[in-house]
Amino acid sequence: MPNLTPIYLSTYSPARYVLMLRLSSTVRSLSTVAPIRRERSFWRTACWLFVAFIGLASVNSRQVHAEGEPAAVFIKQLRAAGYYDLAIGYLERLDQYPGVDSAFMTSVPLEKAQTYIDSAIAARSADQRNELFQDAEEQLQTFLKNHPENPRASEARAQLGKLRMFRASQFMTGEVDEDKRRKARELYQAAADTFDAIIEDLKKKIAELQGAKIDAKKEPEKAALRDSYYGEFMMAKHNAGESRLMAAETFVDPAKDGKKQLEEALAIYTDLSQRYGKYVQGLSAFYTRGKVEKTLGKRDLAFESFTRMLELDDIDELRDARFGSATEIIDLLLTGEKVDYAEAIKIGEPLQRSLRPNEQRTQIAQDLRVALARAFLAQSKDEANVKPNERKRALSDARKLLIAAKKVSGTHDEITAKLLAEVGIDADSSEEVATMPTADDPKSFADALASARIIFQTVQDLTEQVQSLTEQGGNDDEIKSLEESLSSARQTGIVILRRGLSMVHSDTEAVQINEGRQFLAFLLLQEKYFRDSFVVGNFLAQFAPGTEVGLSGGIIALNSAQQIISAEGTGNEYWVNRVKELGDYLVEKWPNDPKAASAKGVAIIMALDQNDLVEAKRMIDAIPPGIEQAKFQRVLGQFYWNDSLKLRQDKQDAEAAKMNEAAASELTKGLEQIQGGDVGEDTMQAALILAKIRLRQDNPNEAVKVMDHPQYGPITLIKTLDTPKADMLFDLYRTELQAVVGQMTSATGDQEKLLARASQSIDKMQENAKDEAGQKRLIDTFRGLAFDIQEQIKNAPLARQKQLIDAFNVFLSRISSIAKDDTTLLWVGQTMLGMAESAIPEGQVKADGQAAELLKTAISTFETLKQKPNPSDSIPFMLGKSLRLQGEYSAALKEFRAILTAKPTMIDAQEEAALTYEQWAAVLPAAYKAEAYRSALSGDKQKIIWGWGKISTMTQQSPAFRERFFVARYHVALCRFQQGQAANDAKITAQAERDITGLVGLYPDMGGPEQFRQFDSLLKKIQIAIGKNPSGLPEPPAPAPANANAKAPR
Amino acid sequence: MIQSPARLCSLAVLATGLFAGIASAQTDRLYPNTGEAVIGKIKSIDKDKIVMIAGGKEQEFLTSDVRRLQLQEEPQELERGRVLIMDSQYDQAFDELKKLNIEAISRDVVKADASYYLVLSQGEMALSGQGDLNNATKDVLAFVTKHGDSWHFYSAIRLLGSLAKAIGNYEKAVTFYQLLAKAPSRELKIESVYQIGMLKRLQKDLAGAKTDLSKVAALTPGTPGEKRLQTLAKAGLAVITAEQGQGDQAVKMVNELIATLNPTDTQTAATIYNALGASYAATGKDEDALIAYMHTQLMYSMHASEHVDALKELIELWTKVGKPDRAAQFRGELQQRYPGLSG
Repeated sequence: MPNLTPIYLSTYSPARYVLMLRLSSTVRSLSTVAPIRRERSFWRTACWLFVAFIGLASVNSRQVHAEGEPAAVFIKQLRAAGYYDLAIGYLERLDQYPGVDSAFMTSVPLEKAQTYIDSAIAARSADQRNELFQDAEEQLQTFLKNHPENPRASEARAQLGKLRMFRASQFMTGEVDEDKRRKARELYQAAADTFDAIIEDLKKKIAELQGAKIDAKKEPEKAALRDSYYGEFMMAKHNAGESRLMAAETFVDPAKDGKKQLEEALAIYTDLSQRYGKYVQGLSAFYTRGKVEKTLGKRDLAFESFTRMLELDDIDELRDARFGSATEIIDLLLTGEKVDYAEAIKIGEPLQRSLRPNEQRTQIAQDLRVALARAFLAQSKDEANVKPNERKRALSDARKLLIAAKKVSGTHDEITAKLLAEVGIDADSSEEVATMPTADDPKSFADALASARIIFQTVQDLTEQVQSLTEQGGNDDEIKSLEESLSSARQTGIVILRRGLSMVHSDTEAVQINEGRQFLAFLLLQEKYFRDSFVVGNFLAQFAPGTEVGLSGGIIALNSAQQIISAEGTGNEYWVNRVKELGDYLVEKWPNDPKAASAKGVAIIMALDQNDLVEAKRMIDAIPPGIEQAKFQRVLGQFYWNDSLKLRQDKQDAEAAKMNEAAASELTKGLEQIQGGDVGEDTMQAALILAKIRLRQDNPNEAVKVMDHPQYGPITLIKTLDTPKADMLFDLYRTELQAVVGQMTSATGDQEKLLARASQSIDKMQENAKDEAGQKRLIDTFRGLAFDIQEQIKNAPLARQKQLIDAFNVFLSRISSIAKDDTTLLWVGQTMLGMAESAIPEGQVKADGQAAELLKTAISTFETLKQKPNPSDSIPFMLGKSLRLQGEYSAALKEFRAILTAKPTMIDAQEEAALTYEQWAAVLPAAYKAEAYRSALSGDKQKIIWGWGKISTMTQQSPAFRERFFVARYHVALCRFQQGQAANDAKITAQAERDITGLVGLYPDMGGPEQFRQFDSLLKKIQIAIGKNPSGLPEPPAPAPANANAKAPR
Repeated sequence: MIQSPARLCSLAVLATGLFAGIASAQTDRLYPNTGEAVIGKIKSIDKDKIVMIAGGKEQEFLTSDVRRLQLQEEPQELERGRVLIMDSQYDQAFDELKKLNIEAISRDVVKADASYYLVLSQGEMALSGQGDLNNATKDVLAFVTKHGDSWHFYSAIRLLGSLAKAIGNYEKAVTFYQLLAKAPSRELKIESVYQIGMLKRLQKDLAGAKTDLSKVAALTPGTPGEKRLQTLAKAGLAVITAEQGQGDQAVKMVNELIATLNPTDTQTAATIYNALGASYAATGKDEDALIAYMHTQLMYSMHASEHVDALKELIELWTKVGKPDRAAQFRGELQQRYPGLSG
């Protein structure tokens, strides 16, 4: 395939060329005697093509983006919106407006011409159209006469030529007599002269530029200009050939009387196809060249040209030319001396099958179908060589093709009807040809309804085409064009139905009126006139209760209201109330219809969206028991659950528990109505939430029951989902683990079985947490679980504590022995540490018994993990902490010092290190105590460990560390007091007193009631030690109002 | 020892928090109306000025000279919402900002920013007929009450003025616009005079309106914003001139503005063409008036207030020139597109 990055593309879009071909074929077809009734649809098709054909002429119009009147943009907008009269009026008074570009002022006739052309195309009557085209031609001639050297002159000439061709084609439409043929020929000849002049002009310009030897890299603008001329030149040649071919076809016998024109056209096309074979114009010239050769009776040469066209690659720009060539070859094969229908089918069938959705309704596609149908008919008649069943199939294929072609009106109508008659189908009496009705006033309501039905069908067809093209990843322009046609069809339907419905009278059947209203409501909804579609749909529902059409109207109304709310938000009470009323009404009037029940769902969703759970529950309870009700019960249950989470977050535990009860009740009702069948992810999610609620209610057995339920349990059914979301899977197995761990703490469970299940859950969680975010989530989950376990132990009675610790210990040890990854091991160690902390009685600092055992395992786990490459900071931290609790203070300090050497600001480690000094001091011999307390207070000699003093200084400024500050200050006072006592130094002890009394001056509440109590107790001890009255702290002040002076942004 | 049991679980977070507090300073960005963004830390903000510490030095900016702030710790929804607002996509911005739990934002300046952009998008939607004007007013007032020292204070006041004007409560609108004059910015002081002048026109006090607008028109503008207000004031004066029966003179005045039309300031352009329409209509040149208003209809319909004004005039004019079908079409557009403003 030759290079197709051509010059051509810089000036002309490929679509333009394709459209030119379409135009030529359309215009050519107008020369055949077509029935008058079809004139209008032909005219519309041709006009549409003509717009695209010459519309690009204005692309070169200068866009005005400077100061002053933006005339170029405004005139374009006026035309695009169809205000042609206003556009002409504006152009005539343009001199009133200041700042219009002088070049634009010069081209006012061109703009007027374009406006007249656009207006002509939109005109309803032929007379009006002719007059407007004439006006356009006058304007173009005026411009060319006054400004022959204007930069836009060649554009004007091209427009003039195309306009003449188009006007000529008008004479060949409808009943054609000799006078009309002559007029058409004259105009085609005039067009040819215009294109010839363009060719000569461009030749000179191109020659001049070629002489200048342009280097495209150095002079890109000149190179672009040269390419632009080149493109225009090839286009003009094409047009020159086309106008001659058309002129020849104005004769009754073109081969005889139009030979001169045909020979000239052939010369042009031959030149194009031979010399410009690397451009689309050159390649597609094989098709037009073949057509001229065929008209001249040169069948072999024509066959060769068409074949060369078909041998080219299937690229978008050449598709129409390839379809046309196939049609022509089939014709040659069927009209030759030897009829070769087999070859014709071989060529035509694959191409016919390859028609894309946007090509299905084109004229060139119908021509191909008819030609191919003729080949199949020839096969069906060949009794000598074709078996009866094959002939029958061929006849059926021909029939199908003809019926498909008949659905689109065009130049093939007559031959299609004739061939259909041959196969026994009466084209006139069978289904009507689906031409699009226009928005003209209908004669009656019945007339409007008939038009609406056709439009409705067209809308459906176009919708399918848009969908199909979108699914196939079709061209955006094509999709946009189809969507515009779709919108235009709907608009027409709306106009017709509105006018039609105003014509109903007392005899009009109610059923038909309602059908019209139903169409209207549907089209209004589709066109997004939601308020209007609501009114019409609601009217139908109210006046046709219990009927299918009434329900349909109700649903359209509901849909419309929903769209309005979705655009404006649920804050609009009016529409929310409409939805509720309509939902209630539909359920009342169509009680057994599932569509009505699901419509009610819209109102429920609205209520839920507004968080009006009371109203939502009322509506849900009103739905008859069944699938719909169960679905909404599950949704409502989830809303209650979300509310309970919020309440819990706000520390309203009692309210949260009540909400959990409500959630469990709704979820249970919604789940229990499931009677088998497919259960989707939503249902499993609902069951999962119910399991979580059961866990919250400390009922792990019930949680496991829900998850394992045969009808809706997510653990049972998760395998039925094709691609469950990783988040959901993770959440599921996390909940399962929590529930199983919960079960393990009861004495009754089969520990081995539960252990196996827990380890399986962990494996599955890991499977669904492979990426970085997943790992983080896994760690958070384990942390959360560790915290839950710690809390559970802490809040349990002593005897139960021991039982719980034993159970968890077994569980964790087993998990630890089978865990292959560090995250799980870390979790095990962390949980062990947490359990140990919970098992140490209050007031005791060193672990013993069961707690010491737990710490032993934790220390061993952390030491293993610490040896791994790049261990997390939290591992030495937790190791240090475990060692402190075990009473191995020196080893603990070693760990903390290592962390703090690298990260001195890690406040948790600083606190732990200071605490380690403090606790160590308590057990050291008397001689070392004072020094150890001093270290706890002021840090080590290397200044790596800060001590409580510096910790309190560093945390004082930040509100985020307020609690830590008071903790540090408490330990400052405590350590000072202990240091004073150990050293028997009254001054130091007195300083300890001042540490507290000085603080209370600044912070009378001492950081909160609990801290206040501890400071007070310590102060009294100190006061006793120094021989003072143990008066303690002064009474704390009443709680201060919320801090209102935080003005400066943080 | 006083220690929270949750401490263990939140170790990493707290450690990170400490590093952020001690090891690195926060980064805010201030985008002035002209010039490069300033990167540093906001020291203080009030309705008149913003003080930033950048490169160790304090820099002070009048709030009216600031286009936007980008703040450390701001949530993504706020960033996206702000960008959408800059692009006048208020409905999408509103959807984005609605997702935020503003009360949960810890930094006050971020909270105020998010609250402002939320009420702004809501207000602009109401002004374009896509929401309830009274509700929007209530919410903007709540913002002003709660964040009286926000750097958006005057913008919020301007919005309140526009909402009051749209509701038809001109007295209240005057009160709001008078507050603009208290800003240290010269441009806002000028805008106060302009807006009050335009309100006087609506209240049929043409002499008062003329006095105010003449003051603005006679100023020597120091900034593009002041120049814009001057142009708008001149357009307003032209309309008053037309209303006083001197249509030809008014057309001449507007044409002077068209000659220097800034093609990028589409809102001012819409105001100018509406003024031209009013001027022609005053002289009985209905088709000229139609063409003038059609400029707004076809090229500047993105500005709701100006578009609504043009649509209302066009409905009358199409009827006058004997095209009731077009009048009906425009009435339909007005009702469909601006359901809250079509009355």
